[in-house]
Amino acid sequence: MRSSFAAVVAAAVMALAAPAPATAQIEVGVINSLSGNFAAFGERYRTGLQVALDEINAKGGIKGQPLTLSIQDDRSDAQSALAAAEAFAGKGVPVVIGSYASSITGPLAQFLTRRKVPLIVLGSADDSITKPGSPWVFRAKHTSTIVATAYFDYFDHLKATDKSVPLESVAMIYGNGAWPSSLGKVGKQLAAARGYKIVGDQAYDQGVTDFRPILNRFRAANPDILYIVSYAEDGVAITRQMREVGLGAKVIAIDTSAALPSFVQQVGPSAEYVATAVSWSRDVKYPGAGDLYERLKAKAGGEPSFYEAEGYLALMVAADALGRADPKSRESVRDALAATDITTPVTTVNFKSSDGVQGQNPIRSLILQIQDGRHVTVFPADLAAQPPRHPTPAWSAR
Amino acid sequence: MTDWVILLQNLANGVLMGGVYALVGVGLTLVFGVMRTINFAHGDFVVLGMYAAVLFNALLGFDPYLSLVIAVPVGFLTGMLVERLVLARIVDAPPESALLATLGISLIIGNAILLTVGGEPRSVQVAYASTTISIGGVHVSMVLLVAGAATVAAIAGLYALLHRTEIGRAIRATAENRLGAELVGIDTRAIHAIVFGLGTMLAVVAGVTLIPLLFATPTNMGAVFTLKAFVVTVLGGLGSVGAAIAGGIVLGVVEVLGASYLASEYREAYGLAAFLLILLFRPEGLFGRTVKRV
Amino acid sequence: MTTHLVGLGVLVVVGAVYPLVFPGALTIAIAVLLFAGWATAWDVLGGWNGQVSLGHASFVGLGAYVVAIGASHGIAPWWALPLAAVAAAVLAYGWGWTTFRLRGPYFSLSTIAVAEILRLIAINEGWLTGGATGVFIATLPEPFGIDLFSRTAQFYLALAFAAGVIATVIVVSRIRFGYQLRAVREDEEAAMAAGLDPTGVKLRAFMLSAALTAVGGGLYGMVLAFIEPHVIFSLLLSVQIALTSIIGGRGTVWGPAVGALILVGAGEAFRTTFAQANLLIYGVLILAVVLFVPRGIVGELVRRHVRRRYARRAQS
Repeated sequence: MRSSFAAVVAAAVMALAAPAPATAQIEVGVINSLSGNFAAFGERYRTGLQVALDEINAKGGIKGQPLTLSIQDDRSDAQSALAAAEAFAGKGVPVVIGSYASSITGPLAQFLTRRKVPLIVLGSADDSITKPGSPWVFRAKHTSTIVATAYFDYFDHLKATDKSVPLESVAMIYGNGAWPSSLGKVGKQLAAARGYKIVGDQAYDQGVTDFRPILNRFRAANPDILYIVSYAEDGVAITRQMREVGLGAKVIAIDTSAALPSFVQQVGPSAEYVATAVSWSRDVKYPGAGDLYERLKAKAGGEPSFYEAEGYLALMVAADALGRADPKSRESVRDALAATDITTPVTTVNFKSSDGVQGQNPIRSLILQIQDGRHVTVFPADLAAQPPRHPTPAWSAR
Repeated sequence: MTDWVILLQNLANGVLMGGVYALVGVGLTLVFGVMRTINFAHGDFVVLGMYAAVLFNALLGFDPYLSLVIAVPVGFLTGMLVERLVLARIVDAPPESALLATLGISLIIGNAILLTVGGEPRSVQVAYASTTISIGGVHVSMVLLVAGAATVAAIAGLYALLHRTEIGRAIRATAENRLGAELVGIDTRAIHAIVFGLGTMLAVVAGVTLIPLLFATPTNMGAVFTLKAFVVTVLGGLGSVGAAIAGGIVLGVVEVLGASYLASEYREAYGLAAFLLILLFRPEGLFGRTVKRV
Repeated sequence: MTTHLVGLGVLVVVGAVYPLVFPGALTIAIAVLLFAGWATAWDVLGGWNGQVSLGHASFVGLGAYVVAIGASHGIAPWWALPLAAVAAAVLAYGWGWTTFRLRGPYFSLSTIAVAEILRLIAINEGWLTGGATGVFIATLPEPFGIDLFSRTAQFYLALAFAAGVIATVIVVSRIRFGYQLRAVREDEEAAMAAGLDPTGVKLRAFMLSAALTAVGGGLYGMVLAFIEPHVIFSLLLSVQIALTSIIGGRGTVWGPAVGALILVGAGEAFRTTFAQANLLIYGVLILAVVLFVPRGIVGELVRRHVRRRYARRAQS
């Protein structure tokens, strides 16, 4: 037992120390959470990366050379991600893509910047990664500020289009994790700046499953808008308990959890009218979105979400830059990334720096609403498939 | 709503959540009381019960509660098997060994589920998930009521088993004094296996009962349930099965009132603070009779 | 004693040349050294004194935050690290003063509760910690032109930390305090009868253990350069630290370090070879150690060695 174990460790050490063989292919490093707490997301990102990889290689790879991915699991843990990043930095990969959680991506961004390796953010949406950011870090997907702004633009839009429904007060619930609390923080600033009255503002610890005390408090305040930011599983419990305590509002927005296909399935008819922000949807009016949906669906073997699309987007951005650069030079890849200007079926991408933000794509977040058991893009108007259903009726009237 | 209706509503929710916590905690209490083992895998067995209900619902279209018919015996046998294969081998080792072993089991269960079912949160969609009964302006959740009834039934059954049957006497004797029980001819090894089987079964029942209300994830939820079970156990009194109900209700009411009238982000802290205070000033628990310091 | 000093010498020599041989695998080596230091520090309380803490992540977090907040106010790490040690000792004093009346599993449970409350405070009190979104360590001073963010510099700091903690334990195991620790572990009543103050001894052990852990936490903060309270205060980290020590062998000088080498090494090996199954295998490994080497790896080796020596003496 012990000796075979030592052999495994020794083999691993040798593998780390051995120089990479020279081949006529371009290898992109991927650091993704395939086990541990974030494995569900990591699996979705991997599907998207694979779809992009198939597409790139079917079109002849990068300048005639096939593209390959070296995917490393970070065990949902920063220390493992850093070990993988160190291996990639030493191996000479031209660009690294990773990871999901900000607690992992933050240290990755710091480390790869110091080692001068370009990083394309895969999943983390924390503002601080691109603000102040670094010349080596690029993110094509959204940030908390972009998403929170999309919600409040949507509220403003509803208020302006249907003046008979007053939208004046907002109540907020958010988890205390990095993403929900930053979305809560930006949401509070936006509500104040745009003249909404905050009548409820409550945080909760992840793992709590009883939201009734918070929801009962809100019921007494009778808000026009409910702004809820929760992890996947919490959103299901919140929606069920909202109906149970009879807390309704004219607009109900639930971030992250309501965007997952499983939300509709698990919450059932109570999910109707709920709005949620995403970076991509199958019916968004970008060319090729429907085709991408079919490919993601085939690869995932189930209903894809925006996570798969973000994985696809990250690799498409990498491939585009590699095609315009010398893949042997990281500076050249970095410069090519900085000059990115493409349109993909997910979104348009360019990394313009402004307001102390660098390497961030000003992506337009979409608002989806659940209509007749399907996620439908309802905002912004020029990308929408259907108009929003507004206002949300009271629970008793459903 | 007037203030006192809100207070009543909060108290009702607290008591009902307490019933849920008690159900999660009672198995841990039993195992600790008899075997002096702190079972870190307890919450993972709860999660296992949740997945059993989810799978029965998804594959066979069963009502989640109906899966108890199969989950109860399977849970019992799984527990016995784990005890026989792992815990029985380290019964004379230092107490930390059992803690470590159950931690290992916890990692194995969570990640085995992750590998087979995937990491997506799963739940069941049933018509009665948000149904409430209204009593004088106070809304009571149907699922919580069912959970409360299950708690009372489970604990009453356990009480009857412990106090009305021969095997129960043997279990209590083993808990009291393992060596003494051996001397009067009780096979304490078999008793340990039965007790761990019962503890696991209770965890699985808790999982099945809770799934219409909650959701299951492979690796996150287990630790949350284990921690709640610890708190319930200590509040009520370690090793005292009936007191688990009281411990659960105290925890539920403290948490709900704290979250309603103080800062909600510290909800968990209220329960933990109560836990520490009880541990420090009444280590026998609120309702335990004797001091059982190890 | 001489064996321990030789072991320490080997550690320092091997450590000194490691970055020259494996310049591309420093992160994993830093992780081994930090865990070795943490587990050895944990063992002062958990092994030598017999008080199993499942809350040591609190001290890791405290150390990391003192360094991070210090860096943002221009306080250099060489001031922040001792400050973190003192702060951790003070915290441990208050913590132990309230909970050391509990024994055995009760004490272990109380450490979880205290650590969870501290985690919630770190997350919710943004004015203190920067809140749930975490804090970056953007700049560190460069003493003598050494970049403290470079993995090589961090490796040597981690090596100094691990070697320092192990040296401390070697000393402690030989002095009066070390015998007091073991006396209290073996039998509190007897220790009291012999004129010892068990709570006082436990408090000193906790403070020493906490202070050493916090120094490692500060280094960890520098390695990550971005810390998030959820992760650094997590129960999982507390459990990992305790596991490392117990699997290696509690109450032995080298057990925790060996545990760190094996667990962190195994984690890395499984990560690269088994991808999704690695945590599952980790669980199986823990179970295997508990079942087949219950005293921990070094504990088992020491026991065999001692037995053989007795046997030889009995023959001659």
